[in-house]
Amino acid sequence: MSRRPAFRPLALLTLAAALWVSPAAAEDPSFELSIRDHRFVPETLEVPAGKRIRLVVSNADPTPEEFESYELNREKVIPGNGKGTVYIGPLDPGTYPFFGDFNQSTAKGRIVAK
Amino acid sequence: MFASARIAFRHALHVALGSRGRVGGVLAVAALTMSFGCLAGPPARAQDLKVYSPIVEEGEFGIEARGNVAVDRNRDKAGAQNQRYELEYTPTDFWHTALVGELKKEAEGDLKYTATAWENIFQIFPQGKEWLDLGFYIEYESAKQRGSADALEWKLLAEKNFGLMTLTLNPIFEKEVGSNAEKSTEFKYAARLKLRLMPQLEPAIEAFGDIGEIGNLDPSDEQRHQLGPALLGKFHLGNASALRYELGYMFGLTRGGSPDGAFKWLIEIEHHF
Repeated sequence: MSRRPAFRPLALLTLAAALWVSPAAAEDPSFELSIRDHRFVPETLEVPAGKRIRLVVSNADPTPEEFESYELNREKVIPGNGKGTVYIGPLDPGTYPFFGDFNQSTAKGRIVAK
Repeated sequence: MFASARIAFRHALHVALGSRGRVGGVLAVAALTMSFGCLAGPPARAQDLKVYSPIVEEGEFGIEARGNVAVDRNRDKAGAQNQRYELEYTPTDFWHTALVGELKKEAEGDLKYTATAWENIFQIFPQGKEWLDLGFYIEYESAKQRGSADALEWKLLAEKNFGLMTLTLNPIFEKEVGSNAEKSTEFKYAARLKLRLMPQLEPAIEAFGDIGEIGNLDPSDEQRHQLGPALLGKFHLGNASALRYELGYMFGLTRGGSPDGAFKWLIEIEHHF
């Protein structure tokens, strides 16, 4: 039985993708957001427009929360007592609301890009 | 065969224990999946209509049921079904895994349990960190029907957002493996263009196809190409749980290889820990 390189094309694609790590990402401006008592702190976060942003979301509550924003096109679950990183932008100047999907009545906020 | 499987497993374990970071972890678990494939038992396969995103959500546990049924004027195509039932978990922010049971029905046959599969999705980059979101999918499918072959399936998962639109592409490579393997690597595809209208209702256009073995493609009329509308959505059930659904109807684009149409459905209950 001959051995065929069954998945060579996809293996090469995957390897290329895995090695394609942008060093510029480490230089993205970083901002922090906390979740405490099912509220975002701060509720308004100012960020520079025209740049990709690294947003570190820490959840001080014991229950998970989902950082969600249609305007930012992001949906990320932050485990209870954990943290998660969300990359957003580059953003045009403006206001971008976000909310906590599991506690929508209290967990609300907005990002203002200037 | 078992000797090579043992070596593959040892190598995978070595990579798993020795690697650091997201890319190393992704490659290590992929290697473990491959070695599981070498160790798994007897034979079967699938014709699934699902588009996979590279984005996974850490801590998500889910139960998913999906399927599709062919609609055709021809009795030898009408009523053919594929159903898959999954128990899913996402232990890290880059690895999603699931145990899958597959049932199939030929046009004039009965619904039969055809395969058990182990599915894995690896998200390569955090969402939005690069220009294109990328991941890959590996599945080992252990056939449950006598004479059928096991199968190994790889998909590249690529996703790009354009404003409120999300484009997802899955080139798919499937290879029969094991003692009953006959076919060489087959190429399939799945694609979706989705409008993020509201969480409960996201209209989309989906496409699926199977062009046959690489290097020995099926005649164009025998290839499977399907295209049609779909609706997706998510409803929150409270207590960190949600219900997801997908409904769609795929029109066959080839006379020989595709049914006139196929109704597809998916329902998933998920919970975050």
